[in-house]
Amino acid sequence: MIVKVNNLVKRYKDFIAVDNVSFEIEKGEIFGLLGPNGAGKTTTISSLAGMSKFDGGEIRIFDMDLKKDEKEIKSRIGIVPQDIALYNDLTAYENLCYFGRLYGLRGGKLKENIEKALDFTGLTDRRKDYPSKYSGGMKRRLNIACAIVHQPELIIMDEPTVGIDPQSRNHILKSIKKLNEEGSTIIYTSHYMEEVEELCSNILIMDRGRVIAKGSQSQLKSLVAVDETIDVELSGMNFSIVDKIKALDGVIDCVVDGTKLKIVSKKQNHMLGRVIGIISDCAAEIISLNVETPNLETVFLTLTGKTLRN
Amino acid sequence: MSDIITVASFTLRRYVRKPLAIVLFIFAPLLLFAFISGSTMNSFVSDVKSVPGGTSLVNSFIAPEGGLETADRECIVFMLMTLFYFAVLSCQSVTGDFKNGINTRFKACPAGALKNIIGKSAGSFVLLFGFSILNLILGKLIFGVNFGSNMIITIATLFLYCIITNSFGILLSAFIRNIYVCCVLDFFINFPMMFVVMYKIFSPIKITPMFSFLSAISIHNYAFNAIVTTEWSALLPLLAIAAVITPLSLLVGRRVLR
Ligand SMILES: Nc1ncnc2c1ncn2[C@@H]1O[C@H](COP(=O)(O)OP(=O)(O)OP(=O)(O)O)[C@@H](O)[C@H]1O
Ligand SMILES: [Mg+2]
Repeated sequence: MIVKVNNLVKRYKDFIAVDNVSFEIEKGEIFGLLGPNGAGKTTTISSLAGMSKFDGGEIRIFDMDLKKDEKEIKSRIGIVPQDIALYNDLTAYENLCYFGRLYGLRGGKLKENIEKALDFTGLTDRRKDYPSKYSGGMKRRLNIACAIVHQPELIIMDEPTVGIDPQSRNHILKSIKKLNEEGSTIIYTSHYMEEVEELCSNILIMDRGRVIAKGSQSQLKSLVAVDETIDVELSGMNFSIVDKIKALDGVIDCVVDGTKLKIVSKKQNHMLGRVIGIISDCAAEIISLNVETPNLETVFLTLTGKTLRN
Repeated sequence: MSDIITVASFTLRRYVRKPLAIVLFIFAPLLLFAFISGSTMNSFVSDVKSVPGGTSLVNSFIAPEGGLETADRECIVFMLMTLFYFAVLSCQSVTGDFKNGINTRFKACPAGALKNIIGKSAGSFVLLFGFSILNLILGKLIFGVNFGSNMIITIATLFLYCIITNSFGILLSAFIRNIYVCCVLDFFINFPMMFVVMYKIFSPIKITPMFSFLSAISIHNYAFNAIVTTEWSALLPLLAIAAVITPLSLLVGRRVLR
């Protein structure tokens, strides 16, 4: 157990931003923290990284109490802030040098680690440039590099891919996986459920400061009754098709929208085959077909009644 | 200690990267020196008369203090004024970190807020004191300004004065985290403090209690007195102010950065 959070509470005056949140993170995993705007993700992370005081509960990291061994814990954590935090009047290299030194690196080890961080984020040939001359994606990458220059055991990333192009995003996602393979434990915050789904083994879903659900991806998905959604577009709508589909065992709902059908069902073997069978029996033609298995978005929608990115 | 040196050296490095500011900081005082040396002739206009009652106006307001001529004394005040204005340097070191988000990152570092603020304060101080010495040298070489008969006291005065203004900048930025407001406020505090000293140089007329109060709280006044009188004891008020304002600024600064 690398992180153990017990009933964490954080208030801003009367407003409770984090309300009794508890979770545990195993060494070597990528842990996802998912939630809409204002869910309390950044606040939770700030408490974890010792950046802001919390009002209740207990945080243990590396088997130490955060309140007692703050300095030791901080030196082994790397944080990628949600907002880019770089000195624009220092070059990329100097930015890394500054933060490396603040984490106690000196001399050859410092140089070696800076080179590694630059290489890792693909910024080696832009090392002498000022961040003000960087593209948005490159700034994000340097923002990450500054957090990993001291080779932390636990890396906390707060929405590291916000507002960047797909190329930089892929680069970042790849490097996160690589960091994890090299042994770092990662806490990954996002409101892009695709990213969390791609990266994270265990996930905590938050909303309005509370834990909505937590567990592995399959555990979370099993929380929702819906297992499959089939969208079919037909050349012409025949209402006997709808009645027959509704009568199928395991179908929860079948909604008609013009010539389109949306069939929500429990996971059943051959549901798709049976639906196609009914349609061809009625001599209707299928124009398009799409099958969706539940994702975190559906989980979130089912649990809170709203979408992640409202 | 090494964290403080890191913060201080990078603070300094970042200032040096701003050539426009550096040029301004060096040339603004020189421009004032040039203006003053070029505008006074140290002889008296013919229509200076004596006031009724027989006292000579001339004698009362040109009596040279510590062997310094009027122009020299004006140059000293202007140097103090510009140095006080450069407190915006230390303001910038604090407010800048709020603006660019570095403060968030720093909070996650094992080095605490106290080391951060000491480093920032030290970095700005080194530059500020450097400027003051440069002003001293250039003022003397180019315009022949007499900065007091005891150079050691003058330098000691500037040292304490820079500590005070630098800490004042930190204190200001800790309360007002906006560099523009800090600049304006710094100017408005600077002006009356400078003005009382200027007034004393020019006017033979007794000042009002209000003005003498202003003169009592004017750091410029204490620094000016120390340089002009060349008495070590004149440094005591500056020493006392520095001993109070410096720890205060660091404590308040730490609270804000934490
Ligand atoms: N310094 C603060 N003072 C007062 N309220 C705050 C402060 N910081 C955050 N909050 C409030 O706490 C709640 C949680 O904010 P937080 O930044 O943790 O959300 P988040 O999950 O990170 O959202 P986002 O996805 O937008 O980054 C929000 O309602 C926010 O308004
Ligand atoms: Mg956030």
